[in-house]
Amino acid sequence: MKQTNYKDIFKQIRAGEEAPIFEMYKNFHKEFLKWSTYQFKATEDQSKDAFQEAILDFYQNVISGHLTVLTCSLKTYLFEIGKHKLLNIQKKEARLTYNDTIQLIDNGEFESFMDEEKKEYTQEQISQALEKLPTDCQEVLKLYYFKEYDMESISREMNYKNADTAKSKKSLCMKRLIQELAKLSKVFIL
Amino acid sequence: MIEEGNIDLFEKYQHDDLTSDEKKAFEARLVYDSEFKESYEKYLRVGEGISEHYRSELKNKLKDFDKQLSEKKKFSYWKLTGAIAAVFILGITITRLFSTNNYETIVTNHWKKETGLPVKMSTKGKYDDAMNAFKMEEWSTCIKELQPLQTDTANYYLGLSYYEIKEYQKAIATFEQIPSTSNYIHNAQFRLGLLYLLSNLPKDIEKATNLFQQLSIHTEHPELVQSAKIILEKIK
Repeated sequence: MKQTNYKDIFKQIRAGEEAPIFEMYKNFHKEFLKWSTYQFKATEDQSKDAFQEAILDFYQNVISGHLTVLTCSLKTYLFEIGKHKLLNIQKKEARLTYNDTIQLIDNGEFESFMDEEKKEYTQEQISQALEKLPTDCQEVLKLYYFKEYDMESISREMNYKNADTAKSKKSLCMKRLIQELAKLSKVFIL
Repeated sequence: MIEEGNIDLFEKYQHDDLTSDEKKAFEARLVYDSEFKESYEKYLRVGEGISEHYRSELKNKLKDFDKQLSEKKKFSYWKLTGAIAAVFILGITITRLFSTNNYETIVTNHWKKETGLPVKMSTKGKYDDAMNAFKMEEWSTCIKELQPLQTDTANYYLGLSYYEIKEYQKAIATFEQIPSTSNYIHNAQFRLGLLYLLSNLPKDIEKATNLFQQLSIHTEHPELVQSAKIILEKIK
């Protein structure tokens, strides 16, 4: 893996394979753990969490086409994202320690805190609603929102006639999802 | 709440399927119609939630994979520890088995059979019944006859009888009762040494070594001296 050209990894990920991310995790996670523990006094859990997030960012960036070229080694790229993820985790954990004192939340954070409150649906509700959808709907929404495929790619992936068919299907699936969410919200209110 | 009627509109806007005028009207509505704006934001948040759901799903797979790696590592550690322990136990067992067999051979080769005391036909002596049983190898009768006598001679033959029925601890206890002034002391100590070897415990091997060392310098019983030297050489 360490010798594998990153272009091959990109190719595999774009072809829908998840195996490369497990291979990358296996190859680099111990080194990242050692490095982050030494450099940033990270705990094992923080380090693992950060590195998993870094791998996921890499995966999403590759699959969505946002990342097409690496100007450094794969390891350097992952460690750099991992470092930022780790610092955010540590900052968040430090903030959570003091969140009972509202004065400690600055303006930006306060807005983000309020944003959370304004959300009509919780993540749990969205996950529950998604699981109630037919498999093809789940797949279309996953391709569009998580893998950030365009309609042309979705139609290819799902064997639809064309991009318009994919668009109609996606629209239909969103309606069904929102209906499921509405049902869940009513149950919650009752 | 996201109005169902708005979903198509949101979808069209998202996919850039509105005409230029429709798009302008949509964007203007986002400015003046706060409910419409809120509804659209909620719709966008659902999209974010979908992405988050699949990201979490993949993250959970990574977490499981991490657990598997840790368990594999733990398993390898325990497997290695287990293997070392097994080799160690096997080594000890083989060594013990080998030394036990070795000591047993020494004892078998050096445990000389006693013929027993002569039994007179004319007068009845106190050892006669026991000695008749000893010669007939009727060990339980012999033991029964010797036990009440409480003499050095009785104890020596009692020890021999216990050995024959493999009551080694009783044999040891009996030989140990024979005082240093007794005529049987050297023979008793020689046999005691052999019995200590049979136990195969380090402290008993040490006791046996001491006894054979003492016997190896006694000139009264040249055959015991010779045997003690041979045994010492073997157990070295």
